[in-house]
Amino acid sequence: MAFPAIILADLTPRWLNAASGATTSFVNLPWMGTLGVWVAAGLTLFMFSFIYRDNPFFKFGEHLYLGISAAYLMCVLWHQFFKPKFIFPLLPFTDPTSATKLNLLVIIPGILGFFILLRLIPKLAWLSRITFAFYVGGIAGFAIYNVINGLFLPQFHSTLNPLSFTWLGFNNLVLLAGAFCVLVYFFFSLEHRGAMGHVSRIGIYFLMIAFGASFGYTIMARVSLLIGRMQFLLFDWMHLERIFPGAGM
Amino acid sequence: MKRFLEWFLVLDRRIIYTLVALAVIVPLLFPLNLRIYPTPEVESVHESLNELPAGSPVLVSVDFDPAALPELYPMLISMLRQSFQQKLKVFITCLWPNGVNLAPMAIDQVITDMKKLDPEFDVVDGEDYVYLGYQPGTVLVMLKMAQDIRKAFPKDVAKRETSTLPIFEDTWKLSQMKYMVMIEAGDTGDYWIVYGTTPNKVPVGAGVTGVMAPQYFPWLQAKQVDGIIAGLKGAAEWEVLLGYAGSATKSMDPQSIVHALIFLAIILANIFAFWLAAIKRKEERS
Amino acid sequence: MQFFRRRFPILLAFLAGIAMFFAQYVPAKPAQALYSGFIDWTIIIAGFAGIFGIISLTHYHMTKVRRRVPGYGFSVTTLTGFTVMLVIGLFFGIAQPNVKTAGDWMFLNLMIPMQATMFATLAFFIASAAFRAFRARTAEASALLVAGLIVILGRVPIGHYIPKLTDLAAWIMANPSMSAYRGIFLGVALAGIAMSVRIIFGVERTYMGGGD
Repeated sequence: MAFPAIILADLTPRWLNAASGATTSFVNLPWMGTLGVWVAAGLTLFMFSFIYRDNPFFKFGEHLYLGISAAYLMCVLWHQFFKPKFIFPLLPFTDPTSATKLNLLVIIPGILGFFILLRLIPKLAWLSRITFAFYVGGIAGFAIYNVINGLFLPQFHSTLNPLSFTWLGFNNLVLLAGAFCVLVYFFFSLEHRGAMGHVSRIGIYFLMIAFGASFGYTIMARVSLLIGRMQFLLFDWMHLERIFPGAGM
Repeated sequence: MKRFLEWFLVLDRRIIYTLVALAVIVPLLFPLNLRIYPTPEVESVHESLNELPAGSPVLVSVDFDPAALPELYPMLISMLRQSFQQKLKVFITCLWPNGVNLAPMAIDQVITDMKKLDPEFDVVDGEDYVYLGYQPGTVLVMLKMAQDIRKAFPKDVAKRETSTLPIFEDTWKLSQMKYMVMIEAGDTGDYWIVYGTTPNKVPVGAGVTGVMAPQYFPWLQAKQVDGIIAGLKGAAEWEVLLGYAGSATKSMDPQSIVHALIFLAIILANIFAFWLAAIKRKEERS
Repeated sequence: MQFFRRRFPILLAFLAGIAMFFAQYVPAKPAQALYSGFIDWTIIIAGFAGIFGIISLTHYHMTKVRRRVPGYGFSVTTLTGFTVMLVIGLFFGIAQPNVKTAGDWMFLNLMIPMQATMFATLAFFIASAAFRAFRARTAEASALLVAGLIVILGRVPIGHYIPKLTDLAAWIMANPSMSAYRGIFLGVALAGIAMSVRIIFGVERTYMGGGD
């Protein structure tokens, strides 16, 4: 289904295929904009209907979104990744800019990538282990160097600050105590008893403060998303800024 | 009193939903124009960009999808506005596949808005800015960009060979960027700091969702990020610093009212829960 | 054959890990060429991994339609949306500068509303959950509650009307909250290093999947 479309997409005439650089498009017509806003508003209300309860309108929107986003990802991968990094190096004559040089070595990662897709065939699924071993092993090699130099050392270094009887010194103490106590809390190899139990308990309080602060920010984030959709419904769709002076985006 | 407390503590969720909806809709229709005070974390990013001379290369990584659009899109608009105003050379990447369309939308909107303010305003794609698009691999792309951005992104979204673009004449790798702003809705920001900006010594400002903001303070304290633009409030603060009232600024009124509503609801619920418990204890004793 | 099914992947992970680890310390041209080549190859592999999820999704929904599972009409919706977006996106392109295509129209008017609204509904649920469940029943819960309330009001414009609240919220974010996350970061860093060493030396094999 998709394969003929992929081939045809690059052979269609320029006026039909805006990906080739044509600038005319029926979506620029004014009524398409209005239709788009009404479709968007309808789908927004479908998704909001879940607040009342699960219903066929929400399910329709949810499943439609699933299909569209999967296809969108496929289109992005095709236009921005497969063509310039895989197809053009193997078949340079397909590159409209004629700038890509032949590079047959990309067949090897292509084969390794294809092995991942073989996971869908139980008898051949074992081939994907080769790809994952190559990929995960290499990433693990990168990670050791970068995590030490980019995460552990800078974070550890900035935890150790001078302590003094000043406000800054107090804050440095809070930082050092909090980091240490939280690390002790997460060390489960020893039982949390005695001194270790007390330190671990202080760590729990630091974590509770952190999660409480995080909860406050989470509320801000979720409410922001709601405000965004309400602005769309009230102003882009219903144009209430015409009735209420001072309102609007 | 006991019946009222019991009724309040199990308040029908539809009443709560209606109150939340009203708390959002009413301030949008009748703005309060509450004053927004920028925080030092946002001022730091704004000042760092302000200090860059014209022609300095800056990188913007648009790592979010429509789920975080109301929070992060205003930050992208502000970043592009400030960069174009200061005539910086803007390199835009996207490491989230579902957000590839967001950067062109933002570029078009900013160019349109700035042409309204100044009809002679002009930026050229490929010279003043370039949108490189998406590549899979996240960490791998960052490591490749540290070597050569043109090889990480052989073509831009307009399908031009990046090595032929004028914007890449003096800048072709990550360490040559004078500043970076990453606009993040997930873990990609952590990877940028560990694999991208810290090893290549690129100063970076982090625009993040509210959910992620608390996790970025350790990076800020360790000076691995220059500043944090946290959520919609951060976006509003940046708009205030740039002197224009965008969608983030206009969202602060409903944001404040809903937060006040939730604050009051939690406080009252706790007070009434303790009160009810005290009444029940008194009844048991008598 | 057993060698290629079990031992060869472990050997390959070891060789790839060791090669990439040392390549970052060796400035010689062959090492840097190996490093660069490995990155190019794994980027291509990562692209194929993206397709795997899409194929799984379409296979799952096509199976539901073929077997006429109850609710298969929604699977038809998924497959229809997938086909339409795929054809339009491949033919007309997406995210082209200075060109508005049908794919862009679908992104703006279908994807954005649906995905943004899905997460916007959480605001109602979080308000309801906070009201019903956020109780100071224990000392730890009280610490969570107090910190949460200070940040809820202290980080929005209305908080400036309560003296010192915004300063207190800022102090909480920059000090006790930050120090807890610092502890988590250090733990994550050590765990990440340990896990990478385990993968390279073949102790950790979960990436290979089960069976066989």
